[in-house]
Amino acid sequence: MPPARLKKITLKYDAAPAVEQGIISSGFELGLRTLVAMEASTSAKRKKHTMSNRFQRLSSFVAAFTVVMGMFAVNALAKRAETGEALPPKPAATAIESLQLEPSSLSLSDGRDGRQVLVWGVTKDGQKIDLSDEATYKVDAAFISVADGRYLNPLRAGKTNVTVSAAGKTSDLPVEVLSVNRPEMRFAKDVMPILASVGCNAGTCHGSAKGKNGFKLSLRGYDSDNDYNALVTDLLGRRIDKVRPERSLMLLKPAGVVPHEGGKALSIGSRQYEAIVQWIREGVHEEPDLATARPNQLDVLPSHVDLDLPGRSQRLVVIAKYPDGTSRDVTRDAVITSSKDEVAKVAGPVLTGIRRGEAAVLVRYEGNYAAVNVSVMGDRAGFAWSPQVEYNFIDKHVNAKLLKRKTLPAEECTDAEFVRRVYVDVTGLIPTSAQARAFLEDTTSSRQKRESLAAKLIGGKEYVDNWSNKWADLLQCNTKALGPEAVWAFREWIREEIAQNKPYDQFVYEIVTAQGSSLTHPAVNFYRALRDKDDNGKATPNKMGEDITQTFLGVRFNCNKCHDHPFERWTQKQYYEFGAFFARVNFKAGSHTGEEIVFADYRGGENLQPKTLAIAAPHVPYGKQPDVDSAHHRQEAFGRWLTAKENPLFARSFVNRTWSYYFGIGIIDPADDIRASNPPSNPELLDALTADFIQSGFDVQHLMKTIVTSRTYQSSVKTNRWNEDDKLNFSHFLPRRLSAEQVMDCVAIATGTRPRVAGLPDGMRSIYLADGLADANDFLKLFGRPKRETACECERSSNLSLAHALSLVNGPIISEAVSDPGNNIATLLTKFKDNRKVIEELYLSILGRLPTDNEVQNSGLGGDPARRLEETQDLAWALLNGPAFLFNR
Amino acid sequence: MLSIPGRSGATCDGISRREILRVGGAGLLGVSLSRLLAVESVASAASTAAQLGGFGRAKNFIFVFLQGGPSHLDIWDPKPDAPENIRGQFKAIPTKIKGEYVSEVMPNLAKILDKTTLIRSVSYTPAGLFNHTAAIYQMMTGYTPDKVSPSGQLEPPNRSDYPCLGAQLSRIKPPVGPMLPFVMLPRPLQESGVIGKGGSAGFLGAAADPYYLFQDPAKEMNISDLALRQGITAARMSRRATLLEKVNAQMPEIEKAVSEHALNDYDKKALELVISGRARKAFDLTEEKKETREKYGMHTFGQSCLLARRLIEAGTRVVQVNWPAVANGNPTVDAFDTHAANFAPLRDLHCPKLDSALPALIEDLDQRGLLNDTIVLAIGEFGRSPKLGVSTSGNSNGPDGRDHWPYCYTALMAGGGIGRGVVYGKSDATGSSPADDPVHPTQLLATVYHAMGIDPHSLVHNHLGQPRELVQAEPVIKLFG
Repeated sequence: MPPARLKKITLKYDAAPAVEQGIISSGFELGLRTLVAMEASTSAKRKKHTMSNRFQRLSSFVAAFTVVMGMFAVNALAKRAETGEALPPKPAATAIESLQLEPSSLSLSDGRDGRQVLVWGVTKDGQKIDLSDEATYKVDAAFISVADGRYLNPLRAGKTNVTVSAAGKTSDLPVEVLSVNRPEMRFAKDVMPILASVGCNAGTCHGSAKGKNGFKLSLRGYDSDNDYNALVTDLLGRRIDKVRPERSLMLLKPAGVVPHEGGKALSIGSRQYEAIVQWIREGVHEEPDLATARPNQLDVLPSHVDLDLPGRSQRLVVIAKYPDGTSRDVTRDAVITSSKDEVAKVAGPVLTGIRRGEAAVLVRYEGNYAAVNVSVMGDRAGFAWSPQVEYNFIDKHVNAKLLKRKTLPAEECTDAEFVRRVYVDVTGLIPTSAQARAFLEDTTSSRQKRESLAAKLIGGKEYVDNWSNKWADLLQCNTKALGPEAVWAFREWIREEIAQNKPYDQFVYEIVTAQGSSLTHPAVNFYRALRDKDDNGKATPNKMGEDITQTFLGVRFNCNKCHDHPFERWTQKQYYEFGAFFARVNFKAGSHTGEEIVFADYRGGENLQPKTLAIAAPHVPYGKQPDVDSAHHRQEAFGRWLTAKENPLFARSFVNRTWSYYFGIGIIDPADDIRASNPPSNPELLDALTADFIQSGFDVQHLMKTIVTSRTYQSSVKTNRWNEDDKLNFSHFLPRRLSAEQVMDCVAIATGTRPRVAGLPDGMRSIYLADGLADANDFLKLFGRPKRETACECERSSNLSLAHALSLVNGPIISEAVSDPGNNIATLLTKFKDNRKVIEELYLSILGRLPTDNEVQNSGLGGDPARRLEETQDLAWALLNGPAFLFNR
Repeated sequence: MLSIPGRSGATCDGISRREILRVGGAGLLGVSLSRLLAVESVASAASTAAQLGGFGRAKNFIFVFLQGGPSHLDIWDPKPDAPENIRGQFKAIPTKIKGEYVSEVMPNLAKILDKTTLIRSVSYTPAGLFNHTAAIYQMMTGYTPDKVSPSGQLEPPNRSDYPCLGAQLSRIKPPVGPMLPFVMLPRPLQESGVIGKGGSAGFLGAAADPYYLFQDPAKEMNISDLALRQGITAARMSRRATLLEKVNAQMPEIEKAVSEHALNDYDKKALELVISGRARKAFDLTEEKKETREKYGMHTFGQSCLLARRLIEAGTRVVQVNWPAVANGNPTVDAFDTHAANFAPLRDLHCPKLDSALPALIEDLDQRGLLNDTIVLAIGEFGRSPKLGVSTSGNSNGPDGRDHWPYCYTALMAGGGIGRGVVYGKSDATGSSPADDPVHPTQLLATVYHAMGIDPHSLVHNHLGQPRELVQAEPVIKLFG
C-alpha cells in the first residue's frame, strides 16, 4: 500500500484530446484514423440537436455521470494518492482450534466452473477468523487443478476430496465434478463481464455518452445488443479477426500491442484475455436467449463481515445465480467497493478494517447489486454490557445492535428534557412555562406521565399544524405551481387528512388517484405540482414518476432516466414504464378563478421509450403487475399496487422517514434514498417497525406514539465512554437544530410575543404559511425553509453558519421579541418582586426547566432596580441564543 | 517541526477587544482549534520556501472565480492567425504590453494589462473529470473529488471535503482585528443541483467556512444583521456576549453534544462584528462615489468586485467573487458555459461585465496602494475547446459553441509581488496545449500560498487526524516580479 505521504503531482500533458478534436493528426496506426473519422461523422449528426436549456442540463448530467463511472474505475484500479492511507498492521495470530469451510462442499458443473471456498479458523472462544489467504489445497491431480492458489478447476468428472490446510489445521472438502465439458463462450454471459471488470465500458472510457475515439459501448454494459454490434459488426467487423483471434483489434488495443489511450487493460495470456480469444475462435457467439444470460441474483459470502480489529482482512466470494438455476463464481470479475474507505478498504475481493466503525461493501456484477454490512470492532477492552430497561420492541432491536457493537446506551433523559423534546418533535413548539411546570410537578411515575403526554400531544391541534406543514413540504404545496387559490385549498385538505389521522395507505391512495377540481378536490394539486414539459414543450409524466417514487417509496428513480441505474437494479425501460401510469393525467381550465381540473384522459396518452420510441406499457418495476384493464384508469391500478401491504417499500419507506424525523437520521439514511447499496443500519428494527405499522392499519399516530414512548427516544444527549463515537445506532440522542419555522414560532412562545410573519395576519405562526418560500421571509429562507419544488428531503436545510449567528444575535427575530414592551418579561417584572422568581419563569418558558442555583447566581440580574428591565431582557436574549434553546436535544 | 501560528487571537491587537468584549480567551476571532486540526509545516521545506522570491509578499487575496469555464481564445489568448473554426469571430487588439494582444471584447483589460501577469499555459488532464464541479473542486481545494454520490452525481458538499483555498488562508492567517476573515459572494459555486461543492472549509469544520454573502450588491442588500440595533449600545452588546457565555457554561453536556455545529464560534465572531461595526460599513457601497461604482459596472459582478476591494480595505483576509451564474447555466442569459452559443453571449453579455469589473478592480487596488500586498487571481475551472462546434466533454454544442477544455487556458494574476506587464507561458498556435511553461491549476494555489507566506506543503490534519498537504504542487516562483 502507498505510504501516507505521497509523491508530488507530476504534470502530464496528453496529446490525445487534441487528436480527438482532429487538431493534431499524428501518424497514429491505421485503425485509429478510421475511428477518428467515424467520430467526426457521428458528432456532425448530433449537431442537429437543438440546444435547449433542458437538453443541456441533461447532457451535463450525463457528463457528470460519466465522471462517476470513471471515478469508480479509478477506484477499482488504484487508490488515489491523497486518500492513500497505510493499512494498520495485521493483528497478532490467534490460536486456531479448527477449520470451517464455507460452503462445506462444492459441486462443479462444467469444465469452466472454477470455484473457491472461504476458509475460517475457529478460535477457542468460537471467534471466526478468515484464513482463506493462507490456506493451501491438496488435490487429486486427476480430478482437480488449483488456479490462483484458491480456484478449484475440474479436470475429470466424479467425486473427490480436497484437503484444505491453514494455521496448522486441516479440513476435508468434498468436491463433485458433474462434467468437464467446456461450454461455448457467449458474449452477454462471458465477454460482457470482462469488459465491465476491465473498465472498457466505464463512463470515462467507451461507456461515455459518445464513446471514445469512435468506439462506443453501453454504460457498464446495460445494452448487450449494442455492444455486440459495436465489437463484431461495426466497421465491417474489423475489430475482430476470427482467423487469428490474437490479431483482433479488440485484443490488440487493451493489451497495449497497438497504442491505446486507455493504456494497457488486459495482459496477454491472462484468464480474461484467453476467454476473449476463445470466444473469437469459437465464432463470436451471441447468447441465444438474452433472458438467461444475465444473472438475477448475487450471493456474497460471508453475508456480513465482522472484523474484531483494524488490520484484519476478509476475503469475499461472489456467486452469480442465473434464471435457469445455474450459478457461477464471479468474484474475479465483480466490481467491489467500500462505502467508507476510512472504515474498511477494499483491494479486489479482500477488504481490510482500517478503524472502528461500520461500512457497507457494495458488489456489482452485470446489472446486479448486493451490499454486505461490515463492522470493525476495534479495541473495546474494559467494555461491559449492563442490562437495559426496554419500554417496547424498538429498544430490544436497538439494544441488540448496541450490544453487538459493544456500545453502551446513554442514560435516560430527565423529565424536563423529555417534555421539551417531545413537544418540539410532535407539535413543532416548545412547551409554555405552564405546560412545562404542570408536567414537572405531576407526581405520577415518570414513564406513565411521559406516555400520557405523548398520547395527549399526538393528534392534538398543534400536532396537526406541525405535520400538515411537513406534508405540505413533501407534497410540494407552493403557489408557483398551484396558484394562490389552490395552494390554500391544498394546504387545508392536507390539514384535514392529518387531523382525521387518515390511514397512511388511504391518504396516499387518495392523492395518487385524485381527479377533479383543484379547489373542490384539492388532492389533485399534487399532480399539478408535478406537471412537467419536455424540450418541445410537450407534457411528460417524468416528474410525476420520479417524485412519486421518491416521496412514497423512498427511491430515487431519476438516474435511470438516461440509462440503467448504475448502483441499483433499476433500468431505463422501467423508468418509462413507470411513467406510463401517469401518461394520461391531463389538465384543463375550470370555471372559477384559479381552478383547474385534473382528469384521467380516456382519449389516451402514452409514454415513449426514448431509444426506440416504442410505447412504454404501464408496468411497475417490481412485484405483481397491477391490472390496468380492470381499473377505471391507470392511476387507480397504480394506487392499489403502491399502497398494498405487500409492497415491500411503501410502508417501510414511510416508517424509515418518520423515524428520521424523530432521530435526525433514518435507519436507512438519507431516508429518501433507499437502494441495495445503502443498507439499513438496523434491518431488524426497520422490519419490526414496518410490520407493526402495517399491523396497526397504517396508523401514523400509532407509529409516532410507539417511537416517542420507546426508551431509545428518551435517551439523553449525554454520551459515555462507550457510545461517544456512535452516530448511527441511536445510543444517545443527537441534537438537531430547530427548523426555520420552529425557531420563529418558539421565540414567540418563549417570550409571549405575537408572531409577525410576512404573508400572514399578525399573530399567526409561521407554520400556517400555505406557500413554499415566500421571498419576504428572509429569516425563514436563511434558516432553510424549502421552496417545496422537489421531492427531496434535502430541500430543507438545517445548517448553521456565521450568517445564522448574526441573524440570531442581532437580527430582528430574537432582539425584537426581547425588547417588545408587550412581552412576558414586562409582565414578570410587575408580577414578581423577587428576581429569583423572574429567573425561574424565564428558564421555564425558554428552556422548559427550572434554573440551578448556579444559574440563578450567574443570571446577570444584579438587584439594581434601574437596570432590572435591561438585565432581564439580556438574560432572555442569552437564553434564546444558546444551543439549549436552538436545538432539540 | 515548524509550526504555523494557528491560535488566531494570540497576535491580535488586544485593546479594543479587551475593553469591548470579553468573550473569552485566545480564540477571539472564532477560529477555534478545538479539534485535531493543528497546522504544521515540514521544517525543511518551509525554510527553503522562505528563501525563494515572493514569499510572504501578499497579505490579502482576492479570488475572482469565473465559474462556467470562460473561453480563453475569445478573451485573453486570441489566435488571429488560426483557421476560422478556431479563431472565432473576435479580432485581436493590442495591449499595454508590447506585442501582446487580447480580444476586442476586452478593451479595458488591454489598457491595464501592464499591471498584471497573464498566464496562457494553464493546463491539466482531468482524471476522467470533465464536468464543472470536479474541475471547480480541484481549482478550489487543489484536490480532485474522490467520491461521487451513489445516486450518480457528484456528492453534495460535506464535512469530509477538502477545504477551499480561502478557508485555509484565512484560518492560518486570520485578520487582524474584528472583521470577517473570508467572504464569498455574490452566489455559490454551482453546477445543476450540486451547490457549494468546493466552496467550504470542509474538514476544517464549520467555523472556518466563508461568510456567504449571497445577495446582489448591485441592488439594495440586507445587511441589517451586521449593524447594532437601535437602542442597543456596544457596551450592552458586550454584556450580552459575556452573559451568553456564562449561561452556556452551565450546560456543558449540551455544549459538547452540539460542538460540531460551532455555534459558539459563530456567536463570538458575529458579536465581534456587530460591535465593531467595521463589516457593516464595508458593505455599504453607497459610500462610494457614483463614478467609481459605474466604472466597476452597475451589475452584480461589477459591484461584487467593488465590494471585494472595500472588504479588503476593512481588513478581510480573503474575498472570493464567484461569477454570478450557475456554472452550467444558460449562456444566452448569464453563464460562461458557451456550448450552445459562444460569440453573441460573450460579446453582448459576459465580456462587457468582465471587462468593466476586473480591470477596474486592478486599477483601483493599484491606485490605492492595495495591490502591493493584495494578490489577485482570476481564472475559470477550464477554458474552452479551440475548435468550434465539437464535443470534447460528451455535451452537445452549437455550431459556434465551444466545449470544455482543460488542456490549455488562461489565468490572470496581479499584485502581492506578482510581476507587472508579463505574459508567462505560451499556448500553441491553436490554443490547444501549452507551448512552453505549462502551469497546473494546483500550482497557482501553491503560488498564492507562497505569496501569502505559507509553505504550500504545510500539513493540516483532517477530520480523521490524517496529515494532508495544503496543496501537492510547487509554486511558480518565476511569476513573482
